[in-house]
Amino acid sequence: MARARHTDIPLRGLAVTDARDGSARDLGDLVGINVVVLMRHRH
Amino acid sequence: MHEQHTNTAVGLVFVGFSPPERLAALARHLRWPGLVVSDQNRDLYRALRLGRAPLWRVYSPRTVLTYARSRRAGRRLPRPVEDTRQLGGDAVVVDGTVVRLWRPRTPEDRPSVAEVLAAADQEQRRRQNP
Repeated sequence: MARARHTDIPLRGLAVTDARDGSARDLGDLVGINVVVLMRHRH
Repeated sequence: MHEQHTNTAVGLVFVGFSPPERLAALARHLRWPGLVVSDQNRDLYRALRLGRAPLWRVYSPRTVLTYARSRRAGRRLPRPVEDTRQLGGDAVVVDGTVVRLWRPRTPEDRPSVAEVLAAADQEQRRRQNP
């Protein structure tokens, strides 16, 4: 099973698209504590 | 994951590299309560150095069998338009900075939901009691 690494990676400037309304978002704007799940390709 | 998510102080963000409309449909299907974002250029995947799986891991015998059965049944399978080898990942982000990261080595090499949520809870406690 993948093991957790302690990191310090700023997300400022990483632009993504809000899938629900199509608006642009900067992941660096995430406030507070968030769990981020990155999907792999789904067959 | 969201079924086990009880700490309302911790947000949930779902990231994929499919087009936004496809991700929105998937999020509706999963009843995902949090933010859903599309990273079609995979900038975040690169920033977190999430790798790509070897072909034999992606197309396991079970997957190949499923495709073969579908083909035999006369179903046309759409050619994938996305990188089928891209791996996912899990992260805990505090005020826009990734503080905990799980990088899988294979498509199935993911941490348990409980482990990721516990790490987020731990970060919250650390924030409350520095």
